[in-house]
Amino acid sequence: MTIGEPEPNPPPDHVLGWMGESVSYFPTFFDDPYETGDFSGDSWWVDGHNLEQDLVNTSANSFTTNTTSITPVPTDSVVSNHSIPVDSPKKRKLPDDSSPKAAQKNKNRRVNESDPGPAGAAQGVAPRKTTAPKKGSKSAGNSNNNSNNKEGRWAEQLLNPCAAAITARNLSRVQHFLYVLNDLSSLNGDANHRLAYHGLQALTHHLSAAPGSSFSSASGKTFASSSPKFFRDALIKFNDINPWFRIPNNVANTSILQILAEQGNQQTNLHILDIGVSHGVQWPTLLEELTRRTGGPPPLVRLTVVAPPTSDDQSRHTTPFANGPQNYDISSKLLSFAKDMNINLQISRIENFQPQNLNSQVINSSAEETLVVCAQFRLHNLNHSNPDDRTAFLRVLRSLQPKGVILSENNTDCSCSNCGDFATGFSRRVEYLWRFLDSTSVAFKGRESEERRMMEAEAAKVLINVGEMNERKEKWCERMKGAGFKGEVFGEETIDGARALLRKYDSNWEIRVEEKDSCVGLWWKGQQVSFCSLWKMD
Amino acid sequence: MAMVMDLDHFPNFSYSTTTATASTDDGCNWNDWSPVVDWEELSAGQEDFHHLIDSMMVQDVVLNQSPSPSIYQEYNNSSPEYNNSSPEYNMMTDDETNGSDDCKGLRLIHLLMAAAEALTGANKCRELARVILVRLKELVSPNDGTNMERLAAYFTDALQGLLDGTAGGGKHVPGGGGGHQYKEEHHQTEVLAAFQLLQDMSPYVKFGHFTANQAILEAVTHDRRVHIVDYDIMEGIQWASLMQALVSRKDGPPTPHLRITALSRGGSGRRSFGTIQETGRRLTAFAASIGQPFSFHQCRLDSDETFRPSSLKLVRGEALIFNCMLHLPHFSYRAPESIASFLSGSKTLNPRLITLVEEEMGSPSDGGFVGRFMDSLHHYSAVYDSLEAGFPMQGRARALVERVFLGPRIAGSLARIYRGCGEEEWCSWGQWLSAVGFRAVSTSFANHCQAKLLLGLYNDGYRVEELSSNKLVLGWKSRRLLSASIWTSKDSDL
Repeated sequence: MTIGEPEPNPPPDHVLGWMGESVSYFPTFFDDPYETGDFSGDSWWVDGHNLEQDLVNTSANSFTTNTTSITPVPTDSVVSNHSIPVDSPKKRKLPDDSSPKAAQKNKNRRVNESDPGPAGAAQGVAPRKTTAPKKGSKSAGNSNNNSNNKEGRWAEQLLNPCAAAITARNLSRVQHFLYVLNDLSSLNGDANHRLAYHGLQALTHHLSAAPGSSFSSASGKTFASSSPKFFRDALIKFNDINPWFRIPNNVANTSILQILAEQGNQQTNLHILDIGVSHGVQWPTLLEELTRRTGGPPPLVRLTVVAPPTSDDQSRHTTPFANGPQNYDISSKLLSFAKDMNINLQISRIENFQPQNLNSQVINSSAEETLVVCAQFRLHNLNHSNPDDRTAFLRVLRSLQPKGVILSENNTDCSCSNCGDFATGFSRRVEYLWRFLDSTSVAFKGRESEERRMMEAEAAKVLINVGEMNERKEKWCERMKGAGFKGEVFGEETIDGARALLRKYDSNWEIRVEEKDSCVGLWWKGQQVSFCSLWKMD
Repeated sequence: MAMVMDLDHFPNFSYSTTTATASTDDGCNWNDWSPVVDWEELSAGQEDFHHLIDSMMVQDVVLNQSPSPSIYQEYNNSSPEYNNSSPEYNMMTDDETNGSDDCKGLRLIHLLMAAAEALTGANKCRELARVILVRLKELVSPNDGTNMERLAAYFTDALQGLLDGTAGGGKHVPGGGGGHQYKEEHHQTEVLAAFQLLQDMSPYVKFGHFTANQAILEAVTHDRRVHIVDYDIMEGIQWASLMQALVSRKDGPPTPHLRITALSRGGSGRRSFGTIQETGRRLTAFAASIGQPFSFHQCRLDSDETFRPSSLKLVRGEALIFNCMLHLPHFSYRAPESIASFLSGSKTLNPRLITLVEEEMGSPSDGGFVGRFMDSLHHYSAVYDSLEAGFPMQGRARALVERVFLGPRIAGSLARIYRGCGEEEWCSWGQWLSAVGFRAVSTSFANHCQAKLLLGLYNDGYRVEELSSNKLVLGWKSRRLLSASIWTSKDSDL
């Protein structure tokens, strides 16, 4: 048994020890509306003849009203399992630091609450109201939500020094940290325990791996190893409780509508080049929106999905969130949905995507159609130097002459081996994963579920993926300009829509729009997570 | 009388049990100085946790080595065989058990070290310390488990005290706290029993007393009057053996008059004025029974435990001895200021001899708090191992000694180094005496031999070492535990 592997059968009291307080939340868990599956995002294919009803209730009004009746989840609803009364007085003070932010948000909320919420949405979320106060009061003592407070983030205090010791080749220190991590890591604990777990896995992998060896994740199911149905449902559920992808998806959809509206001719075809990680779940909303357009949907809507390179194993070359299960097929669902909507939808899929091979012939585009490129969380996997595949690919995109490009990416520094030593890169990966695990813990209210486990295991791939060549937003913008694009301001309805949608999520989430570059930034607890940007040909 | 029932559960224990029980009335049985049962033969196959710390310091350890799953199972079974002193306990030290115990021991050491690191230094993270301590408390209990587990439990408690800021109270006197709160916690009969057990299980008490007494005897051979000022007299057991030696000198000079002045402290603790009076009465009665001319006095320390030489009553012509016992059975860590006042105060009185017994700690002038913490852990793990070797089957007896003496001492020790961290260079009291101008007095060959003889009565893991001409060190295996050193003031005629 190597140090990083989980205990085959964790002893019951061990588990209970970690779970501790969250046990008391199980009853509310089962009452949770998301658990019953009647939230809007899921219904559109689950139950054919209710589709329209649901979509009208939710997506149609998503700009302004979708979420107004939702009681905001308290900022401190993280269910961490180790609250100790002793710490409570100190910890309670922490949320004060972010109160100006919260106040501002509340103001926005009040403005929007004048819009009557649709009945469907209210129905879906009503039970949440009853549980929220209880959670808030119960867990008030263990919120670590202060924006830049690293005190509560103890797992990084072990992982980063361990990575630094690896870089410094100080084996006894490495061993020390591995021992401690081994004892504190848990897949069932709070975000810190989970971060320790995934971090330990990655560190032991790093220490033991022969170059190029595959990583067999002991973290459980990832996207690729889940069943298609479970994967789809889990992804939809996740999007419903964590805006990590939902906001970028939403911004992309409304931007596509905006671009479409800017075209003089109502009757041009729409062609979307989908280079993303949404696995299709973002498109029903767009399709539905298209039917509500004055003049109806375009005569033809084409969706060209650029599939990521398939991975035979859970290789180190897999971008997190990019690869779904092997026989996952969303096309037929989308097509039948479009048919119900009276939309002429065509879906094609480009397998084994080689960036340099992309051209107008491959995607079969024409000058008459409105081509929009939707690139989400995939391009950072392209080499950014030696060779600079990234710029080359942006030029390829430019050569397709799209009417618009929506680029969403992680707003973090690069963690590839050319941009820093192992310790530096690892700490950046860990920080990224921390935000994901922390926000996901809040999203799931600290409770365990198969869905949560899969999402987290998938995200944890970031720790070993060699393709994590992120760049800051500014650098991306530079590259886009260099490739012949110019930044475009998002429409007001795009921003407002995203803000309205975000209100449905935990109040630690924020949208910040930069005046300078007009990018839409998604922030978690005062820290940048991702950005969305809109580009047109220069 | 409850003691009788308790101790009756310990087989092979009748020797000291009876004396401890009798002590309810007339104190320890001082007459019986014959060595305890030789436990050596019983200690075969005992576990040795001491080497764990050594092994973790080894640089080139295989990184993939990891705790085996059996640790979890074992821990999870809350193995009943650990919970009592049944003979089976010792039988199950087969390789497999040892292996997983070692593994768990290593885990505990790493966790403790990480917790100590999280309390100080550049990467200070109280939340991390808290999480580690929560984990440790899941893993260990002071009352059962292996040596390392019980030791880790006391270190965990001590660290928790540092984290909560409750260790040693709010008083900013280094070492001033940590020793006070527990005094009341233990009933006097418990303390006495633990003391007796410690005596029987280990040479700690006798090594200090015998070495100091031998030096005193050699220094006052021709004196008619001897005056000993004792910093912490406790039950006075040291002086019973000295009196026996004084009256039984063959062909020697007539028995001198012995005067003992015990320093007393304010407060209502166990060793308050009243208890010292009790000690005096017992010593007086004992002296009378063996024909030793004797008188007993007390000298009260100031409220801040400062010693004022002027408060001593001195008689011209008497040989003045200052006796300062700071090692294990002596309870709390005295405030360094108090000890310093006693030792430096002695200088003005020009004593014939200063006998000092103190713990031997490493001198981790580097390393800061964590370095000293690890040294402490190393030190007390050696103590635990040696106690186990002394009484391999007596888990409950050891638990009592650990609870009464070691737990509080560990807490006090950590509080002291935590507060003192970075403030001053650490040095032993021996070094301090040398630095302020006391002279070393060579230990005699006889004294050295006596120490060796004494240790021969205990487990052969004990070592005696002459570290310098005036200092004998008692060690367990490779670890030095405590030292006895002999000094005199510069102007003395010795």
